[in-house]
Amino acid sequence: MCSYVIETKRLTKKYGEQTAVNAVNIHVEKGRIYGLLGRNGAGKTTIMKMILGLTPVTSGEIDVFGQNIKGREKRVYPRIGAIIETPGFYPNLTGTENLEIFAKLRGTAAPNAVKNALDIVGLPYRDKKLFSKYSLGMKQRLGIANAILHDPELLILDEPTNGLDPIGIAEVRDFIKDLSTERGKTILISSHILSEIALLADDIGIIDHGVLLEENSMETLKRKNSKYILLQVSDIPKTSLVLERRFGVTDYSVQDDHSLRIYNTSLDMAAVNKALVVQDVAVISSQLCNDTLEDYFKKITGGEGIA
Amino acid sequence: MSLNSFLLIALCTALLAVLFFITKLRRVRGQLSIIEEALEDIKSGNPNRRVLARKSDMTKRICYAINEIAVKNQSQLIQQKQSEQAYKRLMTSLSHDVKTPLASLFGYLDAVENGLVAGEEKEAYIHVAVEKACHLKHFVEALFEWVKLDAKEQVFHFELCDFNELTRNIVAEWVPTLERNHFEYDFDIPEDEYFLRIDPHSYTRILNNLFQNVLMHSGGNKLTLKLLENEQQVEIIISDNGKGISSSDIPHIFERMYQCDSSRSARGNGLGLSITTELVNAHNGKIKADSNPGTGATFTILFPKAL
Amino acid sequence: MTIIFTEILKWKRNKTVWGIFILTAILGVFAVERACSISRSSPLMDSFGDLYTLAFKNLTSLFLPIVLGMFATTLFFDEQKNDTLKGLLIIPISKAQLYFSKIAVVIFMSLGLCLFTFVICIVGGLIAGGFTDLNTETILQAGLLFLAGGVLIPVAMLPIIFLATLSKGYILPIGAVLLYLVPVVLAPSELMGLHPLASVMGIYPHISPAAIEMVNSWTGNAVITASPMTCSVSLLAIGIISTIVSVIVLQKKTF
Repeated sequence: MCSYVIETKRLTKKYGEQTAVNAVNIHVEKGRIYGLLGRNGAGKTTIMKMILGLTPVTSGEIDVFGQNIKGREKRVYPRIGAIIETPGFYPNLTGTENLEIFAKLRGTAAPNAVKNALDIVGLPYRDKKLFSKYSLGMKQRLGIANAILHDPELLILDEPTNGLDPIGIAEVRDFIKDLSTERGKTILISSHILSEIALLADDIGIIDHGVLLEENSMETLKRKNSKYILLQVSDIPKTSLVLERRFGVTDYSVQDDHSLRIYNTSLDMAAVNKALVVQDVAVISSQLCNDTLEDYFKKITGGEGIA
Repeated sequence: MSLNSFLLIALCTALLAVLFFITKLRRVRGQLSIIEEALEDIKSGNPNRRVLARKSDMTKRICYAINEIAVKNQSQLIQQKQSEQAYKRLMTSLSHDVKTPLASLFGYLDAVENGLVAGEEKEAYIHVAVEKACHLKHFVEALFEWVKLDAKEQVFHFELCDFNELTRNIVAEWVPTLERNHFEYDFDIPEDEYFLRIDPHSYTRILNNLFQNVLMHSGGNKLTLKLLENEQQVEIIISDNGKGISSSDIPHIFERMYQCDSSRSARGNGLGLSITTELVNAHNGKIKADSNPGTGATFTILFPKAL
Repeated sequence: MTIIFTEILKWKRNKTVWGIFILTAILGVFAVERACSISRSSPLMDSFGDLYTLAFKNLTSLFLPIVLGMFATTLFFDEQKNDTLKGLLIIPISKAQLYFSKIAVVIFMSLGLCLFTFVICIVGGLIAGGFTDLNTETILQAGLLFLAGGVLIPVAMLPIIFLATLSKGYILPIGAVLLYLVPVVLAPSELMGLHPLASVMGIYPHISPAAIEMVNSWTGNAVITASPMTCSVSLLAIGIISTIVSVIVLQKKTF
């Protein structure tokens, strides 16, 4: 069974002479959160719009749910929920009335879908407040409620935390995470804030000037980029004794029979090595892993970094 | 005029009726084909799939029923996956948490046995080794308790007892420990009797765990316990004045193996709060944590009077 | 069906809609007031036909085209301005569906206003009194005329709606509505069969006998050269062309 929910093949978008998206191949796996990271104007929104058919594709292909999307829009889009840019609603109606319009048009998966969706995002059902009186945070929430109204398999969220205060960001982040873990949704999310994506995504795609620079799982990236000294030695018990008695290190963990991680990266490794050799312990290798994610992204985006 | 126009009107209505039924029929046919496709998809193992229906659709109830089945399936699947993942996490953390102290324990004992150390240093080595063994023992015990609770194999002995008296006895035992650790304390327990059906052993474990938690992790120097009782329930409030818990950690602290420090320097075993939660749940109670980082944390437990 | 129904829901609590109905009421009441003040012996107001054609003329000659033009523009433009269009398109609703639902709403609006005026006329006729010919047949005739106007005016406005779909603001289509009306005011009879609004006028006399007088007064008794058939065909043809072009333009547009 093919597990890619979204797969693009050399997806390209040109506005006249300017190339907004250049031969992008993204692979969104089922049940995971895919974070599209890039600066404003890097092409994130354009990719999402092309997937949703809001803007025509210049060249390349888009497969959604394992099938080419062309000509199957009517069957595929009801299985997707999305927010693109700012959520749009009718200002003269209340939140509930707005959602009811969308529920009527699209159909729902359960009889009380509107109430459920509002409950999930924490907005009151049948409130008298008009959409035009909503705060930005409430608008975003209503947008998300609309995206999950029909319990879709795939969510495409374009900067869903844009314009929210820190508490709101944390809340939205939490329930996006919940949607993935508790409800098994596949989520494609875009952001220009690295820390946002780092907290949320399982997989990450970094896009800059329309080019996908890197696509990898967060786990791999984190493993590449956490701060510790990886020490490979012949004798673990002796090593731990040296570390504790001679250097007072307690902040370490044994990985397997021959390697351990020391989380105190300021340790004088030359002295440790010497002490170990004196104790008849062979040091096979010792390497410092000290890259932060920020450093890493700076490296691949060519020095400018991302937000 | 009248006959003709009547005929005309009749014809028009008939035409409209036919048109109406044709569109209705087409809609139903379209829906049936969607249902068929969705069923095929669900059958092949995609419980995320939903069939959308409008309020006016004839197939509405069938669609909703299919969705209900899919949702049920899905939540079971997710639960299963979650517990699988949790066990995997548990196993890896477990192996690290056992391996690291075991390795260093072995290191110390090895040094003693091979006569590398003598006299006072030898004594010190043995002392450290005993401490480490002790820690390991506690960890393994806690783990067993947790596994038993998680598998619902723990047997509870509920009995009617004076809750205030019981609480007083438990905290009295803590006084020496608190004083030794230079903790101020303030216990606010009503003088009168308050009877509650409870498992005294479990309740003791709950309080012990929470006190232990404050002592080891809060970093503060003041502990307060307060009982608020009424006809329906009793509320136990335990707070400290330590460093608090950050809001991103709060939702996770009751999960097993969760430790706020991302490194493994903390001395705890990550099981205490998880065990506490299980015990509270066994009493049909609730536990929650509130915190303002920097000013301390508050744990609140609710036990219903009628069990 | 559902789409049209939700289109109507979207107008809940909208001030423009209320404004339009109030203005229409004022126009209707104005005609009734004339009926009250002019004596029944005057040829201007000696029959119920005079009353309803007066009201009809007030409504359809300038007011209805302008109102419908503006209404259609807001209908198309607000969706874009509020950013709801994207939400609708990913439901998915095709642009053609969207267009036809909007047209349906415009026709409903127009019919609603016409029937509203029709009711005012009947009530006004009863209040003003003295109409000897106020009977079922004339009422039926009046009803038919209002119905015809309610359906035909929106069809005649389709080219303007095309402009509304094309433009990115209110100003172009509303300006176009005014320009669109100028030739009809200047040379109505000559334009019958060419200009949709003029064609509509060429059709009225064949619906209600009282409308003959009305159209004559409008065209200044000029001889009408175009047959109702040509008028209808040209009206339909222009309407269909506008519709097709509108849908194509909408398909091309990206958001």
